[in-house]
Amino acid sequence: MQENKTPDLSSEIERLVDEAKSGDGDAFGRLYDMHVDRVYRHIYYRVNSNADAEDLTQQVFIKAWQAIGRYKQTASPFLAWLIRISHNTVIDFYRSRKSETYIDFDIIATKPETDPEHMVEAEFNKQYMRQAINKLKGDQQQVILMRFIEDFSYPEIAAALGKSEGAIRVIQHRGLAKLKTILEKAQQ
Amino acid sequence: MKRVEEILIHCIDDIKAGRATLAECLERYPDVRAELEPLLRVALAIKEKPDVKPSDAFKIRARARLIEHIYASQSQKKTIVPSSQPGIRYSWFTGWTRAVAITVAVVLVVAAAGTGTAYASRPSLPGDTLYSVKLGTEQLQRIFTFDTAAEVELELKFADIRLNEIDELASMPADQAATINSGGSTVLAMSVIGFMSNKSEETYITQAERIEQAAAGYEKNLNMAITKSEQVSNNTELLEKVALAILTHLDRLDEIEDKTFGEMVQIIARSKAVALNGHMNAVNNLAFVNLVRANEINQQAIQNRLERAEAEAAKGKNTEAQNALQEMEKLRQFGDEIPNSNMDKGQDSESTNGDNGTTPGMQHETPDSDNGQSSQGTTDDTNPSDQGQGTQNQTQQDGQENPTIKPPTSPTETTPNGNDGNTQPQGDNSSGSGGSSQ
Repeated sequence: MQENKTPDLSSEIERLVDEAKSGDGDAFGRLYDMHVDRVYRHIYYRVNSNADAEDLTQQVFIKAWQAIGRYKQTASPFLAWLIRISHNTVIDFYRSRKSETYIDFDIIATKPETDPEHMVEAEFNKQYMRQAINKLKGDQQQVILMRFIEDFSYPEIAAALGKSEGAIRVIQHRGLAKLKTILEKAQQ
Repeated sequence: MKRVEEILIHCIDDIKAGRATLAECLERYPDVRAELEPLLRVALAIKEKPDVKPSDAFKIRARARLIEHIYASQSQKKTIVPSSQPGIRYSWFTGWTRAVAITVAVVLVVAAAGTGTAYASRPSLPGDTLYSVKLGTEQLQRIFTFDTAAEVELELKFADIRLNEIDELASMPADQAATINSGGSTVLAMSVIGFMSNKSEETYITQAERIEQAAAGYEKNLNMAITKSEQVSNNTELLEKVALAILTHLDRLDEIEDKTFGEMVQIIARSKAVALNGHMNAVNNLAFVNLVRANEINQQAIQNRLERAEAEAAKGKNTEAQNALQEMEKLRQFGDEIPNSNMDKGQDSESTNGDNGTTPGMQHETPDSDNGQSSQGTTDDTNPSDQGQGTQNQTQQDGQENPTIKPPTSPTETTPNGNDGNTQPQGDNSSGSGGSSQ
């Protein structure tokens, strides 16, 4: 994961988090600088709209500031914590738009019919895969995104979600199986 | 034997690391191949890392909002007991809080420079530390707005923001509306030149003083909107928009006036007088290109004044009712003059194409300074340490005649509460929190 690539960066984040927890807004601003791209990307992947992603990214950091006192550094990396907030923020976003379809599979339905096996071999359309992942629910979606999109390690995902690594492996397995089903179903 | 979940993870890791191919992995685990293969294919297909990044403009803007949110939430936690003694200083705004404010100032200015977006919708009010930053962002939006019609709309938008500020301040209880003025302009200036001072400059500022700042800002925004609209005198839609906007302003000022008392009443009355004069200028400009519509809008304004008078009379507010009637009479007389002035100007325009000659009985006192100011003044203001300099000069040029728009000479020149509408505001609008930088 990016923030743990170098000890210096990791300790710098820890220091900034400590300062932010003690009320240093400037330190939190620097944390924002270090993580905004990742948070935005994660959210954009979920909402597929620049305007919504920008709005939600702002919300995430404001929520993070409000909750920074409850963040425990020993539990999970700061970015993983932000991603968790992002996940919940996106869920709230979709809940607030009850009338809107969570995932629009019309695009998938209009794609040419292909053999499922061949489909998997083929290069997935970005839109196609994103929509399928977004169709996953709860932890499955979060684990798939954190592992395959955000490159978190299993221990980091486990810490962020408050689960064991074994549980994360199981969730990932089930998530991939569900994803396969979703993709196949979309082709029917 | 490994569970399939673990095999899956090992295979994914090995394939991604180039240590094995998909086929090799499947060969390693023939017993679970049927289950493993489709999952591996799906997992490996999720190779797309979305190549998306937020724009720098968004990042800066969002950061500024975040820091402002942080700062505002912290400021709210501090209990400030207003003193009845003006000029009393408070010392909490030192050290890192000041540093944060300065950082915020820089970020906000950069944000506005980078985006040109409507950053002026920020919640800060006159007297707040961040208010000068808000005005600074507005100033930079002016700099990055190159189309005259857009400039007019920008000034109208800022005028609306000023009215919102007045309304918000007037709606507060007096003790809550009073605040500590932290010398925002100074903060902004210091932030740009990288100077940080630990000297506390906070002074107590009353509700009326804060409203005065916003009102002075509104008047300048309106004046600028009208002055600039004359540079696009063939843009009927825009001229109508200006005239209609001012109608709304007058209604809003009526509502605000109902909430005010004491010296605040005088301030709002002055702003109403400016709006009324602005209305006449705007309608006159519109009459050039659409005489019928100009008359309709003026008739609407007359009707609104009449309704205001009736409403105030019904409430037993005789002074306010009388003021509204005087305003109505002024508009009625002005309405009688519209065709004549239009004909005069029409003849001018035929002989000198694009000549925005001054309408009889109606003057803009600052055509030279304003026309120059729109470009020259804002250029000067690119150095935020000179924040408000351009308009400060304008204020000085305005001298005793601010607001800049003069009403037509008429027997009913007197405006409500004896304010002639040309009275210089009591406060120094070119100082303090940058109210002059409108």
